[in-house]
Amino acid sequence: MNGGRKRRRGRSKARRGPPIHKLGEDLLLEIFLRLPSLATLVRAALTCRAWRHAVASSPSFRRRFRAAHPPPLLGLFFEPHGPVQAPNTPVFPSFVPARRRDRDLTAAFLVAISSSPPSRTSPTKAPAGTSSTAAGDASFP
Amino acid sequence: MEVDKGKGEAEETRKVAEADRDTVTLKSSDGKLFEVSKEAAARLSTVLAGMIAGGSIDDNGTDLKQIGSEALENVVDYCNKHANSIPSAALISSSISFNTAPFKEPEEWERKFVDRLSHDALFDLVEAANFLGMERLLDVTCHKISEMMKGKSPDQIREVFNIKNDYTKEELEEIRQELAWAFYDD
Repeated sequence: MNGGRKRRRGRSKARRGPPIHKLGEDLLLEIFLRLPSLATLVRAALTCRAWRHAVASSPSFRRRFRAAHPPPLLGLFFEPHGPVQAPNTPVFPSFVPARRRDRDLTAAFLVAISSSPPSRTSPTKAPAGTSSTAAGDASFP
Repeated sequence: MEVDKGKGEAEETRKVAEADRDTVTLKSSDGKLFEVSKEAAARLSTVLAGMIAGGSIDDNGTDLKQIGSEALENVVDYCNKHANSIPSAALISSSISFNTAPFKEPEEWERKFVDRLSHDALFDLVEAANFLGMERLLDVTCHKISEMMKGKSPDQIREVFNIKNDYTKEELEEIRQELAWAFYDD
């Protein structure tokens, strides 16, 4: 009754990539949502372009990740709802770190999560500079 | 035996009332049949609950064309174990508050249930749980997979899931410098 032997399409790694890649982005993000920390999320996003793309391209995922990993750990986000945003803040959501040293963490978070498409040769440089200044200084009293 | 439960709980009485069977038969994409308690199916799967309430359950086997037999067997197994081991109320409310509250830790038996699965079986089960609207099972399976990434470097994660690194060396070097904290914190 349970001879599901032939149902192994995920096994054809050479042709279709590793089994986990058969999960759609939505389900992949469900998994990422349950990661214990931002650091783990960043490392997961850095394993391959597809995963980074999944994280970078979903604002609703970022909202849910923040909700599931409460502020005391990191800091607060202000959603850029257009007019509310200060004129000198960048297009990224503003982030108020809970601790001083998290300024770096903020920058990295913004880079890892909301930066340019993965196909660019240097995806991290430009946004890192901008966002660490803006998130750390401009929007924090 | 299911009748007692049905009488006890008003909501379930409604669902079970007009049916003369207390199980439903599900048919996998490859034509295998599985029986599952109607009460458990309705409680754990929003999709099956809808089908049961809407009368679209086929006594000869309700077709679930998206789900293979191995995954469906695991789904049924999960439903049966669940029916036997846990009072439902707490879990149901935990999955409703899903979006805002931190996730509820899997129970011991749920851990064991997913621990024995191969990667393939686990990923298939994630898809099946998603397709059937089984929020708790989706939670448990996704949690298991997330644990396989926990505390690991990108290299180690790639190894676990057999993922090919498609970043260039330069990109990785740059990322490593920018995000040094992410490689040590946890």
